[in-house]
Amino acid sequence: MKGQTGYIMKPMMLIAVIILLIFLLQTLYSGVAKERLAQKNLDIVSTGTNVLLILANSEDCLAYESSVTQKAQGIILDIQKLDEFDVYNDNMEPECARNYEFGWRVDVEQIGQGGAIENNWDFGAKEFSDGVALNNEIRLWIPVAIKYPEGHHNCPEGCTELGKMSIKLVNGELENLAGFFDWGCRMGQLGRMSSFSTELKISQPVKYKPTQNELCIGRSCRSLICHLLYFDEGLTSEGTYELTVNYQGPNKLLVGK
Amino acid sequence: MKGSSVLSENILTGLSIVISFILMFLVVRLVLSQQSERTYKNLFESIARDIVLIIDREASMTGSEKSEYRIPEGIHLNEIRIDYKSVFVTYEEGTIRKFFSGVLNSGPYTFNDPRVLCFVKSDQVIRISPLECDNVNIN
Repeated sequence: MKGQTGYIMKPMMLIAVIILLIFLLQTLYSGVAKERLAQKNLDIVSTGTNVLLILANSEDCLAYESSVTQKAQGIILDIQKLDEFDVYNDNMEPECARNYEFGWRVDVEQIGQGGAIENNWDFGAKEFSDGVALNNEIRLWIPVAIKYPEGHHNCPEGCTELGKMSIKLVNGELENLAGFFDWGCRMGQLGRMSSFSTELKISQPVKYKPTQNELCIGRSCRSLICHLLYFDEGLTSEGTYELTVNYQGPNKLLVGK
Repeated sequence: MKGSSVLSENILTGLSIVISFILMFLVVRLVLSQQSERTYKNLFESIARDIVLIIDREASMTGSEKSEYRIPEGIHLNEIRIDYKSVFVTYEEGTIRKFFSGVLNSGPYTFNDPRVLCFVKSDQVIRISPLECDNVNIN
């Protein structure tokens, strides 16, 4: 009987130890995954909040500058700047609040008596990563005031109206790749650095449309600042790519894979 | 002696215990080294993230503002480079890059193993210096 028990117990012990080890490893790695998710969430929430506050409070963006104090008034948007952003930034984020890791689109609504929307403006990227290319997205909003100067056709005597500024902020493969090209282009234009490298993971083929100067992943496309050279075939298969860009002024980027 | 086993049951048991311990030691060492590498990298990512948050907070403020950031004690950085919308933290094993949303309207800045950084915003310009903010004038 003794021999028989040992014969059964030894493999049982082995299986128990293996299960214990797998459990320990799984606990450790799930902890790491949770930590990464928390970091990603923290990044997207803080970036979304900061972009909204920069848009509302920075003179470079939408903040109304008092003609008396020559200072920006917090959370009061200048109607003239809003109109300009609406016209000139219809498919790309304005540079004053752009983050090259994220894509975003902002919608500003003027709310009248009884909660009706009286006017609205929107600007920023039109399309975003979706499906497997999407990493994270968030929607946030803040209350704002919209300042009409005297003589404006909507409010000739000058007035301040109630508004709501909402943002859709997205991080994905399209935003990362287009952000890297656009940032490299800006750095080249500023004369800071002319060559950059990065490693990017792509889970769908990437297409480049030279005539429209657009980068597309799946059904979503983004306009680029610089034209890409030697990238006409894009990235034909999924995988991790080491990309290098060289700035060739005035607005061309040489891409190496 | 013909038919008798070369290895007795006791030797086999001993060997299996030794091999089990070696295997467990290797697994634990692998896991721990991976964890410590990740923790080390996270530390520098946190520094880059803190700098990004400070710059964006300053950029989103109206008027003048001063903020001080002290690098955690005992951390050795090779270099911090703050350039157009980007922060690079270089340490012994690599470089971390993070982007911020605001505009500095100054720079670029490169600091070798700084202990403290002072961020000053005035007249829509954010200036950065490797000094305590008490020693930096706002204008």
